[in-house]
Amino acid sequence: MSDSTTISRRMFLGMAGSAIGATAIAGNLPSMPPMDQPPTRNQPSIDADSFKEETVEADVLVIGSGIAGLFAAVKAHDAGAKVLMVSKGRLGSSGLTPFGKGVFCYDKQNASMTPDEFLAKVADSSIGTNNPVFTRQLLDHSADRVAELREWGFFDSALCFESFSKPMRERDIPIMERIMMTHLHKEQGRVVGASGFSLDHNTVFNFSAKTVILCTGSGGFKASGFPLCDLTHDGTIMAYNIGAKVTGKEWNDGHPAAAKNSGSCYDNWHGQIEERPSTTSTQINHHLGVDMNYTAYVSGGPVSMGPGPKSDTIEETTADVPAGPYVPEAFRQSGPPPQPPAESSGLRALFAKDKPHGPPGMGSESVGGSTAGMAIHKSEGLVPIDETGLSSIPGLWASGDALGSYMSGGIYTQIGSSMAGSAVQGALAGEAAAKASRSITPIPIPAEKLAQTKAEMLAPLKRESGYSPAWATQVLQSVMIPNFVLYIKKERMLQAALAYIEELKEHHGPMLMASDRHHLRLAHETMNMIHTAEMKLKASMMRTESRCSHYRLDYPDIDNENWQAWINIYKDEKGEMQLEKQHFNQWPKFA
Amino acid sequence: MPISEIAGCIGCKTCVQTCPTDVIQFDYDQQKAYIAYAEDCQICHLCRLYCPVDAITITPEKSIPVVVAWR
Repeated sequence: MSDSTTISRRMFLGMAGSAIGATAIAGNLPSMPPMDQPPTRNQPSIDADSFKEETVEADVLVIGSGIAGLFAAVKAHDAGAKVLMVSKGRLGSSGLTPFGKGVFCYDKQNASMTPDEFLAKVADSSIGTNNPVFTRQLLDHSADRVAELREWGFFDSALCFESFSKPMRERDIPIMERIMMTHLHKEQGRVVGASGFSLDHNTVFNFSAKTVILCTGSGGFKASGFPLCDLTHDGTIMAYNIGAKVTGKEWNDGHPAAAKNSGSCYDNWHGQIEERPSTTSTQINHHLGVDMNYTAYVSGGPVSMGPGPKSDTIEETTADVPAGPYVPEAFRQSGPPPQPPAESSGLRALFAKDKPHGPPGMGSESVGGSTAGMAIHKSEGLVPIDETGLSSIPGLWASGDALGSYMSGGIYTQIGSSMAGSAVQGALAGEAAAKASRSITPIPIPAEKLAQTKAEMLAPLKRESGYSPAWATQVLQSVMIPNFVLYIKKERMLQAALAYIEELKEHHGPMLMASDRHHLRLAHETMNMIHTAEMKLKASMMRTESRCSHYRLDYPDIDNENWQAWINIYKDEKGEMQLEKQHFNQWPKFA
Repeated sequence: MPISEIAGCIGCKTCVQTCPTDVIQFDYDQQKAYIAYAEDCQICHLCRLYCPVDAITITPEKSIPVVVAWR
């Protein structure tokens, strides 16, 4: 057990005081009624009026404790800032980081491609949707980040808590875990802090900070078979709510799940969760898009793909399917991905000939939708206005999957680049935020704003009747996950789905109930999913073409005349969601 | 059931902290972890892998209906 965790737990114990006794009693009472029982009035097991407030200050507040958050915190500390990490989960065991087993490492000396060749091939695969500034960062910095991870012991264990704790402990960087963040605060045009509540006791935490780095990952619709049910785009929606621009919502990660035990992430990962991570070298693909979903849409199931015992059925399954999503010529393949040598563990081992496995969801008969609600890694999140991941709100950075950096563009290109990209971007954001913090005078968060925040945060606990987050989530899943909505898109169905989602947002969202802190967390996560669904539908309707992982049956071709552009989404002064085009060549140029 | 049993818990709370979806709670009277919200288990096995005494049993079936895009 690391010192940092011990510190945070002591901190909790000290602050919780009598609340802990209440927790113990409350814990054994029935919580929200199960879905198979008739609805009852909300009878909270905790008292919303008993929540205490604590204020915590830092120069740089890092929200999230995956690999982006780790590097953001470490590098901000090393650049001289007083750093605080806050997380909904635990260091190294929340978000997608614990499951990322391949880390891309660009070795300048021995790489099979020059940087120019690499950039050209990524641009080819992503059909121009990538931002070369962020693609290039992978080549410049991934080896340094991998070297640090190796020094901390990351590649020596299947579990990353200990290796992540090492640099945090050495620097004595405080971590506050199991806090659900719900609000960012903006004063005088800049971010000044954030608020959230503890999952362990009745405490609201108000964080005052000079700068904030969102390392909150991406998210999905709590679909089954992929380990992102704790990710609901929390950071992105908090930032959207204070006016930040968001991008990438029309892209889709197309991962299926294994048909057998389709709800089990562990089974879907083929036991890879228990394997040590390893590095990957240059191997650029055009992956995780809509191909399997298109095949299933046209022909029906079952569909199988990738290395495995039934891979010889691929041609039979796909032979009669009319041409669907465009794949650049250099990336067309009907068989499994190329197979690197089998001697190493982790991602490489997945492709080893002696293992009848594949990447998650592949290598056997599959069902779709396991990552529903998530876009391609690094394509969605806050719009960066510079190469460090600064957002359109002064003082607010994002990195990793919370940043719409378009490192790969609208399709997954380089294997292992998600983990590496999060490490690289986290480090750059940490350094930049620390540097910026030196010249910032803290702006206090007004008391009335904190009071309003607390009221909004705890409102679901106070509703005697309404709707359970589980029910609203199931409605959302039933509307958004079927393959004729977000995977194979057409105007009519997108409009129909939007009508449901707007109803959920406007009518049911404000009536979500919570009986305890767990369900309070679910209520906020559900609202974040509803906002995300609205963004995904509107962006998908706006993009009247097909490209990469965005496929419109009614606009099946690439439209280079009108769509050499990303879509940015923001909340206007009236609180309405607005969408705008940002042309690929209009991103700021940096030296 | 997804996470189905915690037997032989030593009360270290590691699984409570480790679970990404807040499925496991701690009973301070009994000084043991217990399964509070099995319906939110994503069957990732992190709790089992981090448990120092191998006390956690997990089965591969979800306890709530699984929504898929196609099948």
